[in-house]
Amino acid sequence: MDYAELHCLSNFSFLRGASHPDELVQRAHELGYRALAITDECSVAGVVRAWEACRGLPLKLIVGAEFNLDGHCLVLLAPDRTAYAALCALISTSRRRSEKGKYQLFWDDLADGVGGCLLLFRPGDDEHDALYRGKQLKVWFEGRCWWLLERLLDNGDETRFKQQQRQARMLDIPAVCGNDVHMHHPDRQRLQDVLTAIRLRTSVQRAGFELAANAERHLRSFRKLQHLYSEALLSETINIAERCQFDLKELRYEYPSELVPEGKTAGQHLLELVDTGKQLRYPQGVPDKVQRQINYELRVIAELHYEHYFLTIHDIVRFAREQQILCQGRGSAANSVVCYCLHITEVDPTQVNLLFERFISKERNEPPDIDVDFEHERREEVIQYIYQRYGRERAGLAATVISYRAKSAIRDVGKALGMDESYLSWLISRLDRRDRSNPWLKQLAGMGGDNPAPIYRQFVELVAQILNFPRHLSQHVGGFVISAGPLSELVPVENAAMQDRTVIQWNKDDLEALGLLKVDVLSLGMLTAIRKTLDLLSEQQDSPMRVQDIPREDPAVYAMLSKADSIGVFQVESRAQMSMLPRLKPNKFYDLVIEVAIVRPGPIQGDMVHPYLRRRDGLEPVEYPSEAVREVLERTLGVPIFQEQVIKLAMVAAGFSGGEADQLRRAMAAWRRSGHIQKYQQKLVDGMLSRGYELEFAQRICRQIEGFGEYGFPESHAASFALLVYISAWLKCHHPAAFCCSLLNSQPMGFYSAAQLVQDVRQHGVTVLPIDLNASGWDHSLERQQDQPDRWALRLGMRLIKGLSKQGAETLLAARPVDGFTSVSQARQRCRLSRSDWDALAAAGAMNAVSEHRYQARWELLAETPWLELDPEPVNEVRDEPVRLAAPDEQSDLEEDYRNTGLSLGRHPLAMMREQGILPRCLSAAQLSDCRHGQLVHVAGLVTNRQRPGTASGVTFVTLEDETGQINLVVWQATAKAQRRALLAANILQVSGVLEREGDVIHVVAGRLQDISFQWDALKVKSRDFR
Amino acid sequence: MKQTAPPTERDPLWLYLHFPLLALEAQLLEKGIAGLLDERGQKLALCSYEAGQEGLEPGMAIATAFSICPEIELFHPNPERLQQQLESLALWAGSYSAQVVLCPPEGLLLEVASMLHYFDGLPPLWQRMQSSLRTLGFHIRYATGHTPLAARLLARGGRSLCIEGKQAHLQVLQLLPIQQLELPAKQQDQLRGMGLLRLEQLQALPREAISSRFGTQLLNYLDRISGQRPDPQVCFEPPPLFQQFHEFSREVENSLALLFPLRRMLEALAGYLRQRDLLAQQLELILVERDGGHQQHSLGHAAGAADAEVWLALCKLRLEQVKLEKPILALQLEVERFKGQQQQSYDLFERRKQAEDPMDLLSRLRVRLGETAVQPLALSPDHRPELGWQGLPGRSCVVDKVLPKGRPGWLLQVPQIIAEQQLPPHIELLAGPERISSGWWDETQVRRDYYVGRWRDGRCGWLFRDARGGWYLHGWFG
Amino acid sequence: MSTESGSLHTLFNKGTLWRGRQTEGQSRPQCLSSGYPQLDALLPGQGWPASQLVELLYREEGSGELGLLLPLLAELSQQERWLLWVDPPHIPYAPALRDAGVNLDRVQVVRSNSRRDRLWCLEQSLKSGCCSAVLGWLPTGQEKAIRRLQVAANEGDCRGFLFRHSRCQDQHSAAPCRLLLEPHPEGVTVSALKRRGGWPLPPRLVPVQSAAPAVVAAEERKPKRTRPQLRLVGSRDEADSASH
Repeated sequence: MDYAELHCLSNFSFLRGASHPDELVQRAHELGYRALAITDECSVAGVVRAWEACRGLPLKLIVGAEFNLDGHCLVLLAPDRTAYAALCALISTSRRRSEKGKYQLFWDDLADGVGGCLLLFRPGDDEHDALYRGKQLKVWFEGRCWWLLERLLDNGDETRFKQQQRQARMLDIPAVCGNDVHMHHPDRQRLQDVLTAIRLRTSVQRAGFELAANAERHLRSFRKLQHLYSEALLSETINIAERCQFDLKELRYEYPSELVPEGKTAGQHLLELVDTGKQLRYPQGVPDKVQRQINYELRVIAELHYEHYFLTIHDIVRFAREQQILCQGRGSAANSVVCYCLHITEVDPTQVNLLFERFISKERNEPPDIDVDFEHERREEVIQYIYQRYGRERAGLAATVISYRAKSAIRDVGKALGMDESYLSWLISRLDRRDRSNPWLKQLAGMGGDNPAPIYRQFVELVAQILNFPRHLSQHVGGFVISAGPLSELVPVENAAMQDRTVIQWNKDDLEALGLLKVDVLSLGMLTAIRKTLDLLSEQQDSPMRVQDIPREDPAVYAMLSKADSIGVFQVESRAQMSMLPRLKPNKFYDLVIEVAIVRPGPIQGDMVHPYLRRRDGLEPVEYPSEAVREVLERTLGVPIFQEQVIKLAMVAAGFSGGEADQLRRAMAAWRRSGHIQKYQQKLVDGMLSRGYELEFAQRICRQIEGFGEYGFPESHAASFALLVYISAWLKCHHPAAFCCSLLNSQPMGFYSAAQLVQDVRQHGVTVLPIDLNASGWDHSLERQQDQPDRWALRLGMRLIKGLSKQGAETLLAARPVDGFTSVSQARQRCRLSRSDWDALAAAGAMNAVSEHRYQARWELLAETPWLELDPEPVNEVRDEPVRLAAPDEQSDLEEDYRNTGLSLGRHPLAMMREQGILPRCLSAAQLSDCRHGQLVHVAGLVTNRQRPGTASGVTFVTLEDETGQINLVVWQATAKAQRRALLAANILQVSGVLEREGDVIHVVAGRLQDISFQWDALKVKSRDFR
Repeated sequence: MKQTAPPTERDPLWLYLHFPLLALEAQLLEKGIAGLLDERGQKLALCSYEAGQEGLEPGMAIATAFSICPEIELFHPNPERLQQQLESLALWAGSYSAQVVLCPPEGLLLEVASMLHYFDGLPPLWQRMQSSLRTLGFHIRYATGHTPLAARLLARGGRSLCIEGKQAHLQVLQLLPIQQLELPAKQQDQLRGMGLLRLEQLQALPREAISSRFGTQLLNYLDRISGQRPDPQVCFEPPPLFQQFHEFSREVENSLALLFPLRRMLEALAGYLRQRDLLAQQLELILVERDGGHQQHSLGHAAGAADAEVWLALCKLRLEQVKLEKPILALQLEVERFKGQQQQSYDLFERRKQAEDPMDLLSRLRVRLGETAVQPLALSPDHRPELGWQGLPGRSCVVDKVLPKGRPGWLLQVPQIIAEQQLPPHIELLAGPERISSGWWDETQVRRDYYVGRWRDGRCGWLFRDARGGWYLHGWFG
Repeated sequence: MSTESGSLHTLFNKGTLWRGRQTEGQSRPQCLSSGYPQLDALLPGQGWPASQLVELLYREEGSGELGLLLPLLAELSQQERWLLWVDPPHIPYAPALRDAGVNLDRVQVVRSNSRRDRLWCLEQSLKSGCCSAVLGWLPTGQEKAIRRLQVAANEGDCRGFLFRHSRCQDQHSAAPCRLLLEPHPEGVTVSALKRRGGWPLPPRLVPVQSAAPAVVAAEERKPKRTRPQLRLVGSRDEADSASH
């Protein structure tokens, strides 16, 4: 017997289908089906996965989609490329009409026959309407229309079946059977019910008849099919399947042609661009080695037909450069000489000794992957350029499939089983997902007690089942697909949540699987900050300053980083990075590449950090089990740190072929999603053992791979990031005022608040001047210091003022006299600002220059404005009797500063508290450096940061700030648990603990935590009483 | 607080009662570690006193709360309950004042100047209220005021003030922090941002200067606080019938546990009776059971009584005898018969005697046959046939479109196994199978294939085969 | 649900209909058609009589006893009054009643504890005036009680239906109307054992729908299709037995 299932939903019909596409394919194959159509509701989002799963199986995949309209169900199948394009267009049209996640089809959309699509029509219960629509569809889909009969053995099934057979006979439309498949196996009924409940926001107990009556909507066995359907109905499925000859591999990607000038080939054009570029990069002449490399790279690009891809990226980068938008490429192909010459990257590949074939190679048949980061404030310009250059119909963002993860799975499944939400929150709060010895699912199972209630057991099983189920499509952060023709003929396009954005229905893995190329247009705050710093420096020096002008390998920069003086520096400013810097003591660019890659969960989980440090410090010999391994690991002292090294190891040490290694790489990237990694692990261990490596070595590599799986960091990315680390560190080192100013002007970004950045720059000797009506601009700016004209002071800008509109500030600045305003009333007469703008200015202390103090300024500015629309001459300002308000005391001033600008230039609160004697025995941050290792100390400070990094299970890092600097606390889990309230709630914390030092790194391991926030208020009462 | 000037007869006096935890306490059955969730169910909005002792506080995320104190009992906000409870408290307050004003969501304002005469002055009045409040078990903040707003602001600011006289109040008000004035947040910010921290500073400013900056509303508001501007109040009108309903947030299994909420109801009753100058002669106490049935207890007091303690004692006597067969979900209290203080007793519900009321028949049947003897029929949207007919009364949520068709008129209480010799072919199968596989989430999961079969005598039955292959009769097409 | 004038006319002509009280009957509450012309023809006044007891006798449930009544119950359930079922032998199945057009909000089912309670309950409800119909199941030998119930039905303007075993057919009964039901492949055969103002009639076939479910009715009953294969769809040894 032969059968093809033509109506089958995967879990990409969100919250309807209860099986992954690959499960459906696998099951259909096991059952001996000839073909399987994936017909998700108004979507083809799941077909690529199904198509991948079909590879190598004798099962034909048919692409189609289901639509529901007026109670009828329509299934459209694509027999060929034209029909597929029309189907995609139809889905796009229906989706674009509706808000995100919904669709709207009209009958008239079908009048043109949808490009030759085959139609299976399952009429609804309204017989009259069914016949009416049937007649119409028979005309529209002449010779391509079938009456779809589906027996689900539910209530009324027999009657319906007979009635529909009669209808088909009456209309003389051929009938075919299908099974409205929602799951690959009847086992999934429970999950299917749960999905229904989630979709309807109810519970299975209350969903009633919304649930299916039985588990019949699965892929059925031949035996069952034969019981239910006649031979004729069954064989008709094969007839239809045979008409469907479309294969997704036909979707050859056609590149936009406009990038290549007429009369030239893409290769010629690329060669010319590279030639031009290399003159700029190597003004002294291209070294032979580089030229050889260029030739080699161009040859590989030509062989793989990637010219257009490089040209496309070059075009985008060219636009950015023209617009003075700083950008930096990264990714497997970005750090090539070609990319360097095309200005896609600033990393000189010859300088850091990165080899092109590490990133792009023929035998791995891996499409090049280049992500380009742009200044975060200006990325939108780049996106708009792409839309404009290629048209909205040809450019679209890739989708990101949002899938069920631990929290969402527990929450949604729990609710669907009628569990209380607060109970679920409690369960979630008790999970420790970082505990690798006890996976969270196991923990969850354990929380049901020794003998869990049946419903709890089902809950745990269902949570496990629903994991990784797609929930909805979201937009990828910046992955663009650009095509030669209309994109909607390649893949359906739908609305994104963001206005004026559209996304395609496939995500980046799908695109990769089909060999379609995407361009990642990402945003990076640090690029904004760097560009702004360079602009400031150019202004100061009166000559343009570019990234290329920054001297490389400056020892001062490395010295600074080695002291962990890295607040504001890209990537290495986090607590974890800061504690690594003094240990790693970077002194060359490649050290930074390692620094960036090593302080990540992957390497830390894989236990790579300590061996690396020990070997670097010469405490441990560097040994290689073989020459082949030496080649791979030499640059990282025998410890695999980068993703590429692991791949290469698999090849040289475990005998993986290029293709297998590529699969391993994908599995690593997606291992949480698919769990396929295990089979590679075994293969890896076996391969290494058979090549004479020791079991211990093999197992360590496996552990490391697992770590990488979650947080893998390729060397190519690390190199690009390391460059930004160096550049930002250089700027901080040599131009702290300009760098800090630019960081502040690029907020929000980075790890630290404006207050912390200002505190840091002041500790570096930069004078910071307050916001001033007469001196500040909207942005923060630099001023020559009056006493030392060669030094620059940082003047805070009005953007810091909470509640001040940008427009208001601009009005004020435009009306500001050259010599500045002289009084509050003059300012008010000169410019028309809203009351709230004036109020914000006064509250922030910006009016202090023209007023006695901020209280008085606020009082005066709040009075009704005397402005009359038509009155050119302002009438006499001060009408009411003058009131003199008392000036704020120091503490109130400080509070108002924080409240209205988020920072203060006044004395630090801790300094005031110390002066009042509230902090007896407490040492300041500065004093800590004189303490010895193991000494018991008392410290206090404002809590500026609490962090539970993913790496160190159970440890909370807390940063305290006092008037002299930062204090780093380490709070162990037991301490944290016992004193949770103080840890989580305190604004000002007093801590007794043990000082630990390792070189220059100083921590206080917290013992007793005390929330002393109330002392601040007490201080206020006290000081007031003094007056 | 020492009185500075002797109170004059005419000085108005208000008492404001603020129940900070009412939204939580209205749902609590007894003291314990409990919290009220915010609207979104993500954070704690209120914590009981006991929860506060454990280190929980409002604003905390649920996860944090649980990690500090796993045994915390959480409640969702229930504005209706809150309103009911506040009204019930307003009834209670009727014992002490003729003019009670509801200040939702959790405050009451009482006019007390005219009551001092009856209670021999303020201290005795307050003492009596306080001891009654203590038995009710609500947390409270209170203050007197010479104006409604003064009382409110002082009470909500946590003053615990009980004084008389306009001057005395004005003096206290001077020191009231501006952040306690209940001004719009922005205005509050601005005032603080000018160093204005206490009411007296604001009052010292020129009136025009204030109104040109903050509008006349603020001035009016200040005047209402000080009493320079009248502030008329709308008093709470007790409903014509006394009926109280309390739904428990969890099932109650011990009849004496009902006394705590009952006391609150009876205190409300006392206030209600006092205000209307009535006595109650007969109360109906209805306990609603888990499966929809209920117990009804009549409590009589021949002479009539208003006092909560009297009625509580009667209730206690009765409840001690009651054995709860099923957990109780809710409690209802009604007055069946009133008696005027002087008049003869009369029956508010005389019209019930008419025999025409259809509910009457049902109650009569229930009284004789038992509460569960009379049951309505309803549709329940459940695929399992045995669960398809027991809906909750008045809540048939099945639309006819999805109504299963072709069902038999009779459903057997319990599916009946079909004997071997009866099995098909002795039974002729006319239709089927209809496969029903549902209910995996509870103990009554079914997996069956249903058929219509004709017996030899011509009758048609509804039968199924279960997953183990056994045949059962489940209904007759009567 | 109105009587078909055609058949009415025939009945007049045949002389089977007792015309004597026709005019008098106007003042009394009217008879309601049973929804089955064949049955109406059997009933005095062309339909179910008002304010009276009707006795339905049959051997076992499934003999069309509900089917005969359902159209009437559907009609009565539009009134404000109750439809009371006292001690039915099985569960009156709500989906089927609803499907027949009965408004379930009017239906109440009473379970009494004893025979005494049952009679009390029937009497109370019949005479209360709160019920449009009361359905009761009585064992044999209740002659006295039936007389009282008849009085109560009259007093309360209520239709009473007593369901009894067919072996009661020879016992005396005060019910003005007694029908004997027997299942038949195409419905029910009904014999009027007693009808006020008329004399017993021979059995008649009434094509009661619910006794032969809709599925069967919709299908042409061909001899070869009478016995479907007694195998479940899909067999147990397959993987999908997991669903079963």
